[in-house]
Amino acid sequence: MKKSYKFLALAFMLSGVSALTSCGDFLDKQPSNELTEDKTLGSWSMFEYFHNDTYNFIRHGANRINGSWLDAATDLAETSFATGGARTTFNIGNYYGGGGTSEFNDTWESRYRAIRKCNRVINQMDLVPKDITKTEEQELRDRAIMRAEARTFRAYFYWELFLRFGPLPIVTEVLDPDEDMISPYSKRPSVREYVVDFILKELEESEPDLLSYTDAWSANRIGRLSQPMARALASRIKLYMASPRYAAESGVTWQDAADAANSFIQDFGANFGLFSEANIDPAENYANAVLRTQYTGNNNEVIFFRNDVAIGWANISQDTPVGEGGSGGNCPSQNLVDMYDMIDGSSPFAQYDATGAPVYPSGSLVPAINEESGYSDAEMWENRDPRLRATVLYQGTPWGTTRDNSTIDVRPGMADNPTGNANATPTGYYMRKYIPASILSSNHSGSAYRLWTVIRYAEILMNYAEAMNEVNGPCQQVFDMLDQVRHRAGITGSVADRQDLSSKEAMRNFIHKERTVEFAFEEHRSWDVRRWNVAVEALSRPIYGVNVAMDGTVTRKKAQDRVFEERMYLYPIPEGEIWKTNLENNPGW
Amino acid sequence: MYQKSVNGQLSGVEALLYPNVDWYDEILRSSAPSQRYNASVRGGTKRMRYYASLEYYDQESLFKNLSKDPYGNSTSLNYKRYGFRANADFFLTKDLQLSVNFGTRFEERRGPNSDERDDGSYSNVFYQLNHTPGWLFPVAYEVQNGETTKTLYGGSSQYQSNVYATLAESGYYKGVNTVNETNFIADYKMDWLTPGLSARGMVSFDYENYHKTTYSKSFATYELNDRDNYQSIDAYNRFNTDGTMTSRKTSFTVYKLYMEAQLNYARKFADLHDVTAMVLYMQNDYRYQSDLAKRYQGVVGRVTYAYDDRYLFEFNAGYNGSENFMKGKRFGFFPAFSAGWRITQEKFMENSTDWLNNLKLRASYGQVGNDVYQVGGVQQRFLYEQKWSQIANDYYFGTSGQTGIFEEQYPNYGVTWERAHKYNVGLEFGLFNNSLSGNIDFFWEKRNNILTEYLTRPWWFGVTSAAGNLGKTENKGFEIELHYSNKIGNDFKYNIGGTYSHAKNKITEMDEPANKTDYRKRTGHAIGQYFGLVADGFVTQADIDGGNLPTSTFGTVKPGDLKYRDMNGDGFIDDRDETFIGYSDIPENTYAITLGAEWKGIGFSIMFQGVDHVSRYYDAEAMYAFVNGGKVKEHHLDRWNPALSESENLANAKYPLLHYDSYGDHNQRTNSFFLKNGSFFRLKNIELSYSLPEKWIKHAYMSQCRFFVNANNLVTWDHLNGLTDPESNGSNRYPICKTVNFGVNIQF
Repeated sequence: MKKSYKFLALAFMLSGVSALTSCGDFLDKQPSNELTEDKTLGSWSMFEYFHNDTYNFIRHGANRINGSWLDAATDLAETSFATGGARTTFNIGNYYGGGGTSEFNDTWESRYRAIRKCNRVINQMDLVPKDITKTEEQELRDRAIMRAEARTFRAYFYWELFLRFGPLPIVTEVLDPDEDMISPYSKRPSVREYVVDFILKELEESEPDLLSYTDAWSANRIGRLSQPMARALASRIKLYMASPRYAAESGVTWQDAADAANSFIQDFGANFGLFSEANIDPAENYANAVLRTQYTGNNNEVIFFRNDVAIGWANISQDTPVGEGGSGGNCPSQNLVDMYDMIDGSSPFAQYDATGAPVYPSGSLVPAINEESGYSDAEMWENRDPRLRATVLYQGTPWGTTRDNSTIDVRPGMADNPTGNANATPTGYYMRKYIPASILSSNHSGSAYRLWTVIRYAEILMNYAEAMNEVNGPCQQVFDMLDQVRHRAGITGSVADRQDLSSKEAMRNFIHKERTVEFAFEEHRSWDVRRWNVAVEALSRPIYGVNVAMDGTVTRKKAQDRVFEERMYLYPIPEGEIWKTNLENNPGW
Repeated sequence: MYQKSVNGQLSGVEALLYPNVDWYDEILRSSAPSQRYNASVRGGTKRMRYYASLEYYDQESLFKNLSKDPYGNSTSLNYKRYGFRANADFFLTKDLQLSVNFGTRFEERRGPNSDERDDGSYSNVFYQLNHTPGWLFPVAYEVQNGETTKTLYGGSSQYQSNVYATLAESGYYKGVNTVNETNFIADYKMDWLTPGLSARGMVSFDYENYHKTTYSKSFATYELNDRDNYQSIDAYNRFNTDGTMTSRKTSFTVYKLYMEAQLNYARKFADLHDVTAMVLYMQNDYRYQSDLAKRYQGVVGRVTYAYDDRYLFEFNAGYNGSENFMKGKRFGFFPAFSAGWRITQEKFMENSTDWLNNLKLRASYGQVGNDVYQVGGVQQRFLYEQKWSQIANDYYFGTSGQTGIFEEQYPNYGVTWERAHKYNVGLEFGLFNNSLSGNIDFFWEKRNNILTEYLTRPWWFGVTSAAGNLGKTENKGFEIELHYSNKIGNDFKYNIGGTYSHAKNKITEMDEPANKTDYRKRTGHAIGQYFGLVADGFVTQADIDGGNLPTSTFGTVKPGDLKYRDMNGDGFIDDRDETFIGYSDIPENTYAITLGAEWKGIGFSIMFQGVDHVSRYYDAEAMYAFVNGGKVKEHHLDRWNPALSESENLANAKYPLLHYDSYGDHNQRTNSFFLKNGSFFRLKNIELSYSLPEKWIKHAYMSQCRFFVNANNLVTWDHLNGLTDPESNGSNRYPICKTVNFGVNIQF
């Protein structure tokens, strides 16, 4: 009896010991389906998925800054709700505030994340094995296209960083944390090294390998980078580099900028045009230039955009009038409204300055009126440029489905300006551009596309006009370009017939005005005023608005004071990055 | 009108239009009963020993049973437990013993169809009670519906739910959790190999299975629109609809397998050298549903040596492995040493043995490891693995969705065990026949390799990093425990005890950049130290007119709002002005006092507990006004009142200006004004018991019969003025309750 138990015990102990030795792998993680770097670099299709995710880094401008649009940080609009990111940071002069995180910090962090992705595509593409189902030629072509796309994207993301922070360390490798990530990058390049020698060179070198217009505009590729996009971006960058702020440092001349814009018009002018459907209200044509998609809407104006699925009420409710159930949101200012011409092409006011706005005499809210135009402050929205009613909702505009008579009513206490409502418009206007009206139908259950336009053809024409004016003064080409844009918008007169635009300077101010009006709320104003060196003047000017009395009388008012100092031409480097890397901060910060 | 309503002077339609509802009274009752019965039997023979027990436990809740379910299903939270346990030890031979322990319990939970979390972290009923104003709508309206009356629950367009209707109409859930715990243990004395050696093996298998069925139904709420027709259903606006009941099921299974093998040795040589040794191997496998198993594996050893019962030495070592680290870094060796000296056993102490029974000095050093790293309550596992993710329809070309892959996290290949080095010195004593005894301990703990976020990697690295073993903390303090027991005469015994502990910790390193602004660094402060804006009183009109008031990025400031300190002097109040305020939420000092007495079968004991040097920031619903369209509380009556003069307000106001909606953002930040002193002293437990004398009960074959009454959490002294319970973790959850229990223990 005892003996058998002894053997049992010994066997038990031995099995325990052997269990111990075989359990060395007990803690190994069981295989699962999770992705690793090797799997991603292991086949071309996985690598393609990795590259396609780069497109996601193109940002949509709507409600991007804690509910505010970037243009609410400029003189074009004010955010109606108090928590709007522009109101708690830009407008009061605090460039570190939490409400602006998406612009101050996330821009830096996400652009560099995207740049890492591009660097990986460019540097590690050779590790990806060949796809045996393709021919050698097809394989080489696909690789060249992807490499070119990554280089173009990288240049674009560095450009976005440049606009906000100035030249930053250029990272062209996939960084390894085990190596020194700080000292090789602790010195900031100059403007020339950064923009001309790197960004423009990258765009130029990668353009030939990108998809051509015909290839990129085929049904299952719409939205991909293409040669027109690289060329258009180069045109924009050259125009900026020729501008007063950068001209000395960059060495790019106005002639270079004019040539860049012209090369686009020559090479791709047949493919693109200003969106215009026949027998349609021109205001609607203008609105549709940014709302219609290329694939279902035959939009031939958009060159590059951020693609998205169709949206509904939830996406536009932050910027619709309070009478419709929205939160007010991005409310255009009187400063913007004053910039529109009359429908016959004449200007309502006598004098304009380099910011594009009319000159406001000190102590007065009303600029000097140009009598010949027939403008009167009492009927300030009559007979104006159709782009005004396409961009701005003012008193009496038919709009929406839930209010009485379905018109905008900002008289005190009425639907769009209720007493005590914190979200009612502070300026007397609501935004119309970029709001697809079809969403409001059937009790706000409609849906529509609202893609974000990065570059459209109208900008190429305006770039050319601005550059040519600087080179030759007001000449026929300048008039042509401006007329194309204005006539599409529904203005009847021609620029050549204007008497007050014979000098280069007057034409320059006019072009500044036209550019602002055409691209309102498309994230151009912030960078335009900076490159023209007029940012302090434009962005510290108070925001003006109107009060509409119960009997319909319109009186001007000041809606908000703004703070803008010289150092705010550039954002401060995010403080966390300064602590980590000791990078040189921007002047004044 | 509302004054009349509060005074109960309204009736008819006016009472419906200007209601005064105390929702807490409508929903909650003042107490909830619970009952518990436990019976156990044990015994044995020479070959076998057994223990079996049965338990029934039923706990009801504070919710009234408002359910209108036709089958009588209650919506008051309820927990019932039926437990059964059987343990048997079999003595197979004089050396081999086999134990089988088997336990099962069924836990049945019932409740309303609202989000009542089982772990107590959130209760939707309490959230609604905190957020529904009492003046908005009555609980229900009664209207004529042909021959009968119909009940319409109150609601409004902004508050479309009705908490009474949630409990009455919205459905209920029933969940049953079955837990099985089984152990097989074998003990084998191996004296035949060498005296004092024994071995033990254990296999433990736990299985838990949870099934929950939730029956839900939507209900409509109504708002009175036409005061003249209030008896007819047409006078009401309806929100939502009365639906039919549907059900959905959830279930999960948890399984755990634990194995252990142990060798023990205990022997005394020459009556002087007392040696013991132990080696143990264990492995643990825990599986939730079919998720990846969580596994642990380790070996532990211990050796103790005592010389003449005077000098004591012990050495422990653990060699543990965790799956969270890469092969080669998985295992950590954690040794511990301790030594003790029983001074009273020394020859030179012989004269004092009459009053000094026990005096022992001890010291120890040990290491403990940790591999659990949590972010936001979710454990991060396998930090050494690359983490890439794939998303379908990540971006669209035209209308066709494209799959996208991105690098989610850069791994930490070298991640390994966190280590805590603990040093301890202590004195243990017993005087006067051990009637006065106690411990004093001093301890110092240094932890390093703590898993924490990388904060010094620049953003142009381009990807988030997995946590690294970068953190270091330090904790030091002392602990005193005293106990005195005595008796007066033969019948009256009493005892007094107390403990006090003080511990102060500090983060010595957490990878914060050296150039970070000093007042914002968390390094150098306690773990859990509160950070927030410093409030220097209220803003006055003079402050605003003076022109020097820093601009707040949180809202326009009016007289009566809080005046924050601009720490960096940039003219703005934003989150860059946050600095450390108050203490941390881990108390520095904790103490407890117990008193007990016994006289002729009557027993009495009382325990107090308290903490000190702790700050708490209670949640928004406890302190702020109008949170998410919610209500105000009694302490808001002391607010800065714009109707009074500024000097009156400066003298009397205890709460800043009230705002509604986003205007209130300026005051409702983490700041020193709302940071409360969380110290409290609580009567934790008090018990009175009576044991029937033996000569009465032995006729009923009982060996003990004891009646008792006890209460928990009866009285609390704190600095909060009735704001909330100082140990509360949040307002929107089931509250901490006072309990009173009475019962009887009987032994046969």
